[in-house]
Amino acid sequence: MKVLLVDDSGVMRTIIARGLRSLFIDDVVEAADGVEALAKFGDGEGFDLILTDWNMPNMNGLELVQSIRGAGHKLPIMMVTTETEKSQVLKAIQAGVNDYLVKPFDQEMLQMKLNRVLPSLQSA
Amino acid sequence: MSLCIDTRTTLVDAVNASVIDVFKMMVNEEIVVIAKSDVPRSVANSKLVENALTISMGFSGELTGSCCICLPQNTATRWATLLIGHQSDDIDQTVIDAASELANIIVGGVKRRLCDFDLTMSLPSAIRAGERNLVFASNISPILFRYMFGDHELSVVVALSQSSVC
Repeated sequence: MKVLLVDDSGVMRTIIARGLRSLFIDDVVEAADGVEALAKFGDGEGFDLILTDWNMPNMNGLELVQSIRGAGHKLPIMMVTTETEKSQVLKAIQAGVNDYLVKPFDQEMLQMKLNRVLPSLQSA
Repeated sequence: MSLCIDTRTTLVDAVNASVIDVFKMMVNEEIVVIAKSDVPRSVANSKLVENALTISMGFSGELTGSCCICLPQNTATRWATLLIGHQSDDIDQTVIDAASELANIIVGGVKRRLCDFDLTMSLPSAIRAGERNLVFASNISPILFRYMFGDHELSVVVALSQSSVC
């Protein structure tokens, strides 16, 4: 399983990558903003999931989701953010976000959300 | 304008709940509230710079001002160890990043709990100084929250004014 992890905070990327590793997801490609994420995503070949922060420099998470969906990619995308205002959540869902992980979160919550967007993870 | 009594009560509950939530969820640590008070008006304490790290984040909207998370050096380094396993006795860049993430999540949690106030928060800024080095304009009444986790102290100073009439 291959995950694109996008967050401008190296600390947050470390936390999430550690959580993914504990679920035996070792193939994690990290990016610090939407521009770097798109470059690393390329044609999307091999990626199973995108986890992205909302507020980032250069290209934010919402713009990243719009770009990925605009190119026709259907893989699950989950926002990891403190942003929970109703209008913002609606905007994200309209852009094509599949689920939300609100900070702060623990390992159990991360696993529950991943199971929801990646049902194959439960049977792995 | 000073905070209305109801707003102040809501704010105190929001800060305490957010701090407790972040420590429980992110590092599985119990943190306890040890005091809440107004910040002393005296600026005399500000003359000696503390060996500490303060992360400041701004609020705008119906409430305007700042929220500062103040960590003595040993608290800042302990937090980085708990959060990502980083070992350091000094406040290095990783410790600053870990403390900034702490502030970001705490203040994000406060904003979420105060959703009726339509708040926007700024990016965190780090200052190499402590809680006693913070001084405020005379028209603001900051609230000081003190917490302990293990042997480590953490404080939060919230300095907000309210635009609407009580």
